[in-house]
Amino acid sequence: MAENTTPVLHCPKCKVVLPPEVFNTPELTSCPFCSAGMHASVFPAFCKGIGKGQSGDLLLDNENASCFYHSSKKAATTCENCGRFLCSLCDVVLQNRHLCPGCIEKGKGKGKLKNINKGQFLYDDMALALAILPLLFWPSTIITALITIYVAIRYWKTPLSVLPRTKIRFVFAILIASLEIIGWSSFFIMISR
Amino acid sequence: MRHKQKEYTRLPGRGTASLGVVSRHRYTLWLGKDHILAVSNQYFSEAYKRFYFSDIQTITVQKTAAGKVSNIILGAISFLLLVLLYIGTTRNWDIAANITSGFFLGMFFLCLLINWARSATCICYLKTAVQTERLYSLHRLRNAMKTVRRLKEIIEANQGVFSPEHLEAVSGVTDRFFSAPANQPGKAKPGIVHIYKGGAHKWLLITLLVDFCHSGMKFFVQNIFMYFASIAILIGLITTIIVSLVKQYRSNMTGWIKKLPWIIIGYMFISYVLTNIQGMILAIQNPETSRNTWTHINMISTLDPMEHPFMAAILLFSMIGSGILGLSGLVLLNRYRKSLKTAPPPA
Repeated sequence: MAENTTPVLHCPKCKVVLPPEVFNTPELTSCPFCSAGMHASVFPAFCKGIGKGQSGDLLLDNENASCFYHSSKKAATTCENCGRFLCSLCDVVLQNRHLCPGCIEKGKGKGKLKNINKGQFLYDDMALALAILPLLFWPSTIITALITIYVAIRYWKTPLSVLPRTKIRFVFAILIASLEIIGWSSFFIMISR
Repeated sequence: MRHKQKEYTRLPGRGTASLGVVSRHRYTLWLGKDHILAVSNQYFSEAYKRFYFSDIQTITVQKTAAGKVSNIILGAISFLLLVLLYIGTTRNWDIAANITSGFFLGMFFLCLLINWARSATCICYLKTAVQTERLYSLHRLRNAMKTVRRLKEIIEANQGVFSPEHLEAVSGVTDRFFSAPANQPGKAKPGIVHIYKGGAHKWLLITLLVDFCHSGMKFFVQNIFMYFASIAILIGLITTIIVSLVKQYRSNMTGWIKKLPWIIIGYMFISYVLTNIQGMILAIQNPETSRNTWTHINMISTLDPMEHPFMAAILLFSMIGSGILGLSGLVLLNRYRKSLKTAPPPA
């Protein structure tokens, strides 16, 4: 069991455990085994290991409130979002707030909890690609231009990314698609005449 | 006026990694209030990985030879093109051939300068209690060290400085692990059947160097015996490659020396394609000799490379390719053998 939490740092190249002498050197140093140039920044968390999780105390009498999710466990706190009683097992601390698993799931779905967002679909990139790439096979722009404008308007208000990002791609996509539509309209007017 | 504060600041470095043939990821690193955000973009989506300052245990940077190898390859190609340009101008080759050589020489030389200016390459890993993640965006040493120094300050402000007390706690454990047989290079690991010292690889690399000499001699000696010698070298290369691949399979061999036979196969394939193109061009130019295989071989083996730019280019390519692969392979093999010798005896 002890080996699982033992703090060791391996050389990225030869995978040999590195001695403490190579930790936090000011410049590049070499691995004592493979002589590969390397730099290892080590922090106090290196010696901490994985914190032990709490299972929650059993509810022995009827005087104490029970957990909303586990009726046999004693409530330790309340969810700061919905107010449900939570045992130590169900209490999730996120962004300095005590939340229940249900609220986290809801927040994740609605995109309210930014810090557990694992990814984002970039609709603005898609709209721009839809506007530009079909130009290589230009007859298809008759359809893709309309789709581009639909995508740009439909997802205009959707959060784009957790990173700094403007709506400039949407604007360009709409502009290019509009030009494509104007081009097609002119073509059809000329034919009809 | 409402002032929106920036949530993330971009850290230096940008990297790409190909996963499979089509899939390509672009990586960047961002600094948040209490965490580092590693972002990977693929087509129209981005994925995030957060590393909280309080959880980061280590950040390791390992210098790699990839940048140096790229410089050598780009330099060799530039040299080849420079030689071609020189031969072309002194022997009054077609102006189009000289312009093409000059254009590609400029392109490759520019790539060489850019690669050289971007500093050495490296691999960077970030370790927490539950994971070790490679930071693909930090693949240039200068950027990586700059970022690591900046992150070190921030993480130390959050966690404190790794003190001698921490070091003592780790020392005991590290000493114990240092002598553990599973952590020693050259020692059999699960899935490894045998210890291989690289004998077949040595013969493969020697054959490559023989090919280097043979290609060089072709500039001065043109006869049928040189043609048969090239066939013998080809058979030798194929045989030694097969033996090397068999020998290294499930052996303790790791790293670039293990990848070398595959790189040589790639190089041989390119040479094969180029030689075939040359054969086709000559067959079209001399239809009367191409009807009989023997006369065609005789004609090819007596051609002077100085009079045929494409042939000269192929021979220079063979010389540079075989020379670089052969010499660098011998250096790698020597290092590998040394690492086997210096590995401490099993506990």
